[in-house]
Amino acid sequence: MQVNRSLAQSVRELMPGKRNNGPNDRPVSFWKEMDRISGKPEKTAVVIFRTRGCSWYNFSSCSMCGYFNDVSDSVTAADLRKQVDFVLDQIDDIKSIKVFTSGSFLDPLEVPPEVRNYFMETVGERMSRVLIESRTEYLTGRNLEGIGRYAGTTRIAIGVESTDDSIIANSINKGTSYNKFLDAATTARKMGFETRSYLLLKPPFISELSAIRDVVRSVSMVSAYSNDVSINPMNIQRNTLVEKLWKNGQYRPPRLWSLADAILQSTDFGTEVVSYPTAGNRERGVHNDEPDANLLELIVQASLNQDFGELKRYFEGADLSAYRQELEAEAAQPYQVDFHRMANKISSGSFFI
Amino acid sequence: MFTDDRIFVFSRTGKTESGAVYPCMLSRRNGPYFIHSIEDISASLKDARIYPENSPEFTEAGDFLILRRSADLILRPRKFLRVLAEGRKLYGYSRLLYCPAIGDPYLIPVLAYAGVHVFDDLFVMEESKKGVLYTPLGKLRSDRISYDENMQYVGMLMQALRTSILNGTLRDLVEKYTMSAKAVEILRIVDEEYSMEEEKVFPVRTPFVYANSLQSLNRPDLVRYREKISREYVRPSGLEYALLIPCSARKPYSSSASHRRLINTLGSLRNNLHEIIVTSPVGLVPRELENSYPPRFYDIPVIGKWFEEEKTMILEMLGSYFARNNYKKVIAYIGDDLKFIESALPPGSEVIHGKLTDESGLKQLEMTLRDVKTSSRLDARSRLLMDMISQAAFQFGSWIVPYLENSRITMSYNQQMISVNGKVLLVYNDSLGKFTITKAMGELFLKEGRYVVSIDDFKPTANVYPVGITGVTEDIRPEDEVVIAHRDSVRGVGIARMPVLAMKTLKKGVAVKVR
Repeated sequence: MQVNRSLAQSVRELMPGKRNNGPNDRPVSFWKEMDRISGKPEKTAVVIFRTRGCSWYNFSSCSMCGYFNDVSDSVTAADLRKQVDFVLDQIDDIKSIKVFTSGSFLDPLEVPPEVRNYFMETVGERMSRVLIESRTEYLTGRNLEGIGRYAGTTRIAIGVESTDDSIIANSINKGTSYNKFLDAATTARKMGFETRSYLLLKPPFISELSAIRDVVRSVSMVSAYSNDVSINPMNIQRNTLVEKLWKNGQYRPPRLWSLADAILQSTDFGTEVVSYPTAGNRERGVHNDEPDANLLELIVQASLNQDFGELKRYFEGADLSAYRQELEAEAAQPYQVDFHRMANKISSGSFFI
Repeated sequence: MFTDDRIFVFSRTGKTESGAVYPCMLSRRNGPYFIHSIEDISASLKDARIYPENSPEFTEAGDFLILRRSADLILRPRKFLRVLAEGRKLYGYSRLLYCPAIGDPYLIPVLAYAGVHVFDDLFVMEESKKGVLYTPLGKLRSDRISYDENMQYVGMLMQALRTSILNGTLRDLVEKYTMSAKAVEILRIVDEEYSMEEEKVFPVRTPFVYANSLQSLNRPDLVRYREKISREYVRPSGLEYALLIPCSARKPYSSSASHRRLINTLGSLRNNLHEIIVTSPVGLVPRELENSYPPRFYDIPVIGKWFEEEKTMILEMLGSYFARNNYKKVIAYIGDDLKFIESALPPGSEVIHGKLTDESGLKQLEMTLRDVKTSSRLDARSRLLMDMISQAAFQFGSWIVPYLENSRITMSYNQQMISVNGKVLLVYNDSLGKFTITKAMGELFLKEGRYVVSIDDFKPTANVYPVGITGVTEDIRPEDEVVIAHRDSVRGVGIARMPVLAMKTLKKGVAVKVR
């Protein structure tokens, strides 16, 4: 595992010092959305538990991750139980739930085993599918023991982001590696868990063309170890290095065309590929120069139904010559910025007739 | 390897090994394609991908240096220029500098002047996508993609840059191409913060100074002239009376109608008089230097009103000039527009108000001058020699004066020459307003360690290239007269064609043109 110290330091400096973002007995958020973790589109609950946060925050953070904005150092096990109770009250007849924290649900310091068990006994029991997210270091035989004994199937989601260790170290600062993912995923699957891999489209400092290539390659490399792969195009979160770059005109979130391209190139690797972009068509999320509501909807529908035909027709029917030219020109640049905004800033000093 | 045809300040024009001409714009659609290709550079950098703010600013790629973060840096010109200066410290003139993504047609000339040699078309692509059309007069909005037209404009621009670097007129071009506030900002910062470094590489002469804007006041050659007058110049010792007079549009001043009137009126009274012309942008011009550069080679718009900057400059110059040069009496014959200089004249100075074309004023001046008593009366011949020596001292430095003590002026084919003991040392080139040196003078240069280009053991013929140079004295500026020597033996004389730093850090290109 490599760490780029100067990158880690730059990320660290932007993290807020105060970490008390209550109320401690309520999850950060809870909502319902469509997903297909049980193999068909269905209404799925999503909860983000408020915890003391990711263990990685003690060192630094990932360059794009702003979940530390939601953590609270004073969250107790009792608080967490109340958060579980809150969820229990809200789930109604829902059969699938995705569980996130601002870190790892399986980190025993973040979510004490007693709370983890309480959650599985209460909410977990009522589900056919539970998806929980964790960093790879907590996916050990010992730590996973006992989780699988509840009624439904548990799918463990791992933020792989990229299978390129250099990108992990020098663009994302994740403090992990592809090999760690392989070990963790193998362990989990041997124990009967399903796995979902999260991949990041367009980490900072690389061109969008490289980013597409990286995601497609990553899908191909994780497919044998993943029941599904979720491609997450970058969204700009508060107090992150990526936000700083973005504000300075040094980063542009990926185009929606690029997401479509990446998905369409990834459908034949033998795993399900989904993408439900956060902040799609918005400034802080994946967007083309002109917003394209159709394209975003097609991506979401294709993800839910695993039928990429219509998306493909839409993609192939569009005149993408200008888009492609732009991406190629950007890829030829030895340093990546938001070239459009940079050009605007440079040219703002000269006048129009 | 690339070969420079010409270096002007930090700009340069020449050809790469593959025949591509610079300065240039890398383009994916047309034009010169070199540095292998931009993609190759990008690919080669991929392995070096580290958090960019903490990585070295410059990436070496063969003959080229790449300033990767150009797009960030250009938004803070002061920082951008600081990084360029650091690059020069590290690499001198040994590489061509490629600055990605900042090829704004309105910035390219000033960036070329500041030392960027290779651009790319990404900026033009972005602007063209929006339908922005670059013209010589400003941007236009168009409803179509304007890439081809913009690239055509850039092509013309590059051609003009190449020509102006070859001709030594780039400074004028940059001063006059002020479509972007950022361009002006960059030039001002270069002049303000890098004036020392800029002066070291600025030629001692250019074809002409068109001082159309205030920024021209800060031209290194004008600053250099004014500094020399203020801090080094010593008046010829026999001239005890100074007459300050206004300038004329026609150069040299003495060929103008107004100065001719003065000359005719005063006649031989002038032999003992040190005339000093008060003007902008050169400040003060002792009469004997009026034919030199820049006094004879500038033009400035005059409307009878001075800018405050010009007034300040002239007052400061007068102050330091008269602090160094004492006269028995200073007389100023000036019009209303120059009244402001009175406060800077030494005590006891006499001011006569009038125009040079004003008959009664001139008579009054003549009467005043008849009254002055000089210790010795100079004849026209000895005055001419005195003026010539003063010019030589101004061109080469006052160290030359003792060597010219027993000199004479001789004429050959209408050319004036200064010789000592029958040996010609200096030949005056009237059309350029400068002296050229002979081999005999070269011996003295070598002895004094001034303007010396040391070379390996060979006989220089047409040109000396940097690869043959073993040492250079720091006083040399492009276009200076130099002596070419191997150890203690003079091998020739010639004209420096590139800055000292370039002679030291380059292998190819003409360093000295041998005479």
